[in-house]
Amino acid sequence: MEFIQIEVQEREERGTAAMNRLRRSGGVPAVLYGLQRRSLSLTIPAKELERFIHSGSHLVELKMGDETRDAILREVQQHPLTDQVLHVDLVRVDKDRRIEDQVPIRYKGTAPGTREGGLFQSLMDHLTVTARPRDLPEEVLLDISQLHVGDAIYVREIELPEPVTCALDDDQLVAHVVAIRGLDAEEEEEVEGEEPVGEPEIVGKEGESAAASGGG
Amino acid sequence: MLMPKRVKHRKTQRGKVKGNASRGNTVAFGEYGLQALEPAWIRANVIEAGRVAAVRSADEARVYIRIFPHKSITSTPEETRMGTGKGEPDYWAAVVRPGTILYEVGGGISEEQARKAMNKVAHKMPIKTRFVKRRG
Repeated sequence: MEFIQIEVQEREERGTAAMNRLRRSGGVPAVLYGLQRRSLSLTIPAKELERFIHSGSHLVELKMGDETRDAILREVQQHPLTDQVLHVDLVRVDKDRRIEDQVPIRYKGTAPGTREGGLFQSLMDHLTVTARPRDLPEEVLLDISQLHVGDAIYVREIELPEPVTCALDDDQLVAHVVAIRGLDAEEEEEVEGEEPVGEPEIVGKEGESAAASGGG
Repeated sequence: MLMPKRVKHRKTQRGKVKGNASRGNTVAFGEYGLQALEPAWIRANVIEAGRVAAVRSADEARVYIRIFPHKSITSTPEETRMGTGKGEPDYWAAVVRPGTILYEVGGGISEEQARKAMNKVAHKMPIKTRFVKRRG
């Protein structure tokens, strides 16, 4: 993974109204923390941030005037409807020190088990790995084209490039193909048939009073 | 059809659907989803119709329903005079705010297949929706 350079400014303003003004003027509020130093509030130009996020890299070289600081992208907050980036969290890193990070897992191919009446289930979409920032892979590719019903992929079976190690337990399950218990025909029929619309049980005071009036 | 097993009150006040969804607005279980873009009360039978549409068009995938009809909607019979009180429960509905993820599909399904399945579901919905992917 390569470091992407971004020019940022330190930010004095705080609060919702000020941040909304900032977003309208083309900036994105960010915070930089880590390495047991004082946290800094930053402003990043929205266009530069978009370029960085779409590059696929997590590593960023923050240019603040004459200084540069290395950081890693930890969290991106987005608007649920417009996908506009609202805020980012950046963590300071040392280029020579190993760090723990989450790397996305991408599944390649189609599991033949799905055609044998099984269901492919991925239990992990990110893998926690330890490495020096530059050695971090952009993604972990897992081939699932050999997974039949009952087969599974465990953490110990994942091959990572040499200096990278996995921070998870070896026996943890990553993905598997499980057998579906012949639900298709039965469930469909159940759905097709007209179901009588019942009433739910009423609990609490209203339920007690209804029962009392019914009984008396 | 979906409905609660136990409730405290048979009838609920109508309420207002304000703002965007602050919870249940990200794809959490599958890889792709269908997101509501408008507020609505979605009936239990519509949720079921959507589920059937999704299961039929993506039979190798796993379908997740992310909404549940918690709200009972009452109605009064026709030609009823004023002042007879609140009507009887008619159906159950899920209160949906813009941004809510309605359905999700996962289990190694391709994006093309997922789009097809979600498009079929979208046709059953009484509101505008959009196809969304899980955020990395």
